[in-house]
Amino acid sequence: MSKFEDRLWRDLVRRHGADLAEMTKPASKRARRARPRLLASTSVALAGVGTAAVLLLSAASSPPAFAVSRNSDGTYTVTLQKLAAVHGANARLASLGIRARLVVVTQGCTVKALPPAAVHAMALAQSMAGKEAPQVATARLDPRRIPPGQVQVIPAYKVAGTVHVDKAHLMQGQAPACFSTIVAPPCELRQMTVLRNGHLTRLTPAEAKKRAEQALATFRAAVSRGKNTSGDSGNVGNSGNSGSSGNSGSSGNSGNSGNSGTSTATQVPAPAATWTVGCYVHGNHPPVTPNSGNSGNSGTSGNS
Amino acid sequence: MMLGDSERGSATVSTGPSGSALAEFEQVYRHNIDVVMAYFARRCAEPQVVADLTSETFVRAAGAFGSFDPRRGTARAWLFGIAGHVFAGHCAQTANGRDAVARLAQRRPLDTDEIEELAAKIDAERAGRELIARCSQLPELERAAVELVDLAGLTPKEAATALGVSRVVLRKRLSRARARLRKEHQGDE
Repeated sequence: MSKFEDRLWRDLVRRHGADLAEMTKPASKRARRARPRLLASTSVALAGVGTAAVLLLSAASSPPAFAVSRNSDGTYTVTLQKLAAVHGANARLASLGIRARLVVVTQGCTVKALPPAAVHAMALAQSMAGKEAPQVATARLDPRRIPPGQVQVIPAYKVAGTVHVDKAHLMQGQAPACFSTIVAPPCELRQMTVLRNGHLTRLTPAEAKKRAEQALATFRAAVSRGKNTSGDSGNVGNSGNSGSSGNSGSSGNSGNSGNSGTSTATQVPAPAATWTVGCYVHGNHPPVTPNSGNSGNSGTSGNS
Repeated sequence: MMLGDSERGSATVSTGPSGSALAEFEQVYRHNIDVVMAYFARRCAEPQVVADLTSETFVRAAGAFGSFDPRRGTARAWLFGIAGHVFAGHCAQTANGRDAVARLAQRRPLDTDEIEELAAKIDAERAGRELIARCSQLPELERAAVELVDLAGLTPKEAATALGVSRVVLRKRLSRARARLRKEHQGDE
């Protein structure tokens, strides 16, 4: 065997050795057991019973390690029981022409970092490890909503022996071979203002108050002109605030402004306090601050 | 390039009741790496591209090994099916002006020894490349049938599996392609 062939084999073992080692049953037996399942599900589809027709069950072991099901509304449900079945599920998705792929989150992966939103899901899964963890992980995806040139990736990982999948994320081009486990961003302390509604904003308290007053003024002007109903005025408040580049704190403020158009119209949702929160590091929490339970999480999303 | 019966027979995975998938896959890899590499060496003259496409084929195969069913065909036929998809993807990416090879996650630069090995492999497949070039006027299926059976050494049954057609269709197309090539060859003389 040549040097290239040896090196390639070592690479394969490094990347897929663990998955292959988990598949202990011979392929012929796997196929034999899977056949009745496939036939059974086909007959279900033919009979039109149920809302979802299972298109394929895994040829792995019993029970099936994955399934790709088409739902009555045109969406698909991907069910995963073993992490090793990711590739089989991906092959099935590819054969169905669905531009969505399950991507395993592994330590040491240098291909792609985990999408920020998936960090939260994984942290939650770790915090809930062993507590009502589902036996199978499911993800729902809608192929019609995948724009051309993009692919939906579904991070898949194992926590405390249980497989989890996160919701799908859109990515440009091809799906990565793997996702790295969370790499903490460089810690950057930020001044964050906590609003009364619990949202965080990077605006200073004075700026936040000014922004809220502006939104309220816009709202009042709209009401006084009688152009909008009170239901619409909430939207006006939002649009007035939309110039704040999607700052969640500001939009939270506008919601309050809308409410204030009724009995509490004179109240301006001034900031309650100014806190300093740190960047979110997986497994750790931002610096402890009063009532920082929820708002700390909001700060996480702001950072990521 | 034709394979002997013993070598061809060994392409089928033997699965003992207690055999692990890793051991099975290693057997598949050892018996087929050479022919898969030759398949790409007939298509690409760049050692790095041959290496990347070969790697991509086996990485995909390792990932999908759980769904491989020996009753549907041999491991070699299954691998050539994957290799065909890998090469088609490579061509599509190249046609779009994108560096298909660079996007392969498995890419790693080759060292001097490996480049020499692959260059020798590419050189050894020169005759095969010439035949493929002569087949360029043939329909795609006929061209693929000639290559898989006459160059890669697959049985017609294996080639039919790899190409996703029935054995009857494969044999007809193969026969037609050979007749055309023979006629063309006689015309040249």
